[in-house]
Amino acid sequence: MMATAADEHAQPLWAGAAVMPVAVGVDGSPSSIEAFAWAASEAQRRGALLRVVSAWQPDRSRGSAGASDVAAVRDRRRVLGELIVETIGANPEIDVMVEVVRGSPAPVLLEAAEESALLVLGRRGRGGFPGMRLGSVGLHCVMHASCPVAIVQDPPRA
Amino acid sequence: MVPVRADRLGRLALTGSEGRAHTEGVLDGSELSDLDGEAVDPVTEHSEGDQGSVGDAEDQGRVVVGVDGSAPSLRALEWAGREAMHLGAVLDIWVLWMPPVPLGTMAPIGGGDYVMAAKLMADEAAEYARERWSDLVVESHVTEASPAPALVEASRDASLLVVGSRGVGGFRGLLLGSVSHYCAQHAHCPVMVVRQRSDRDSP
Repeated sequence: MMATAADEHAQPLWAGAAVMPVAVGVDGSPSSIEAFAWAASEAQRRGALLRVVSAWQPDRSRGSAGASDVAAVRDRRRVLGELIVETIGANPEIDVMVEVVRGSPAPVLLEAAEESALLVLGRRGRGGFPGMRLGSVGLHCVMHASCPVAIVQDPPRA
Repeated sequence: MVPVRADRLGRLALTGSEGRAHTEGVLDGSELSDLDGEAVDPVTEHSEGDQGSVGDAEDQGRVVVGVDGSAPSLRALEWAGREAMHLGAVLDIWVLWMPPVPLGTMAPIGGGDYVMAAKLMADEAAEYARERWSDLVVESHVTEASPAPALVEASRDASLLVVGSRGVGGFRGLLLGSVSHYCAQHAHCPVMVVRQRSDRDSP
């Protein structure tokens, strides 16, 4: 079947790649940064694209909308970009793709898992409280993701 | 003591902490070959140069996998083998078993059966892994212990712990077993939880 230009545009970056990407959920929490570092080395070992997936929801309490949402997403992307460079350097040996997706974390991550070989998560994200062993998002993903889920342990406490 | 034949393996309860005996999870060729048709990422080349000797592999770490004969645990074995190849690590197969809590009228089975069944399962799993990944250094352990804490303990010096989402102790429809849940919470290294093959998993 011939693909139209529009179809081609709709193809994900990893279409046709020999290996499916590794996805990692990053919300900026220490757990998620640890997960990202592990996912980066896992992607390198596999020769896979690394998808950095971050769920984003507009903060309506501040009455933000429209243009400010665009700014907020751009902000999130910038923060993630900085975090990536801090963790694996500006010239990593892997391809990294940042995806800021509107929605709550669990469904966003499950959707990313659909087209990934592996979903990597920290033990708990920003919503967790200290002492909590495995966050609700992690647990939900482990139960429902279509690909294997790797839970990375928290960084050692300073 | 009744001698254990391989075809009886599935009838022996190698239980999780649920302590339920049932008949799922025979470790046989059909289960394992079922995994072969799966669309997977090929093992990358770069790890293979590091396979010189056991000593080298020890330096590269250890991938621990818990196998109890359940379908998710066999998929976990498949993933653990691949990960060990990627990492250039030793594949360390653990079969943990506990005598089941007798249920109703079911006659208890002699303890020797479990030992032998567990050893058979570990041997079969190791043999499968060695055939599948000829460069891989494979070790196996058989221990009478509660699986979850034992796997967490085994994860202490591991690079990765791989477990099935639920073991033979789980029931149909149960998405996450107590062992995988416990391991995800307490392990000393990253834990990969592998679910039973779903329709979406098909090639």
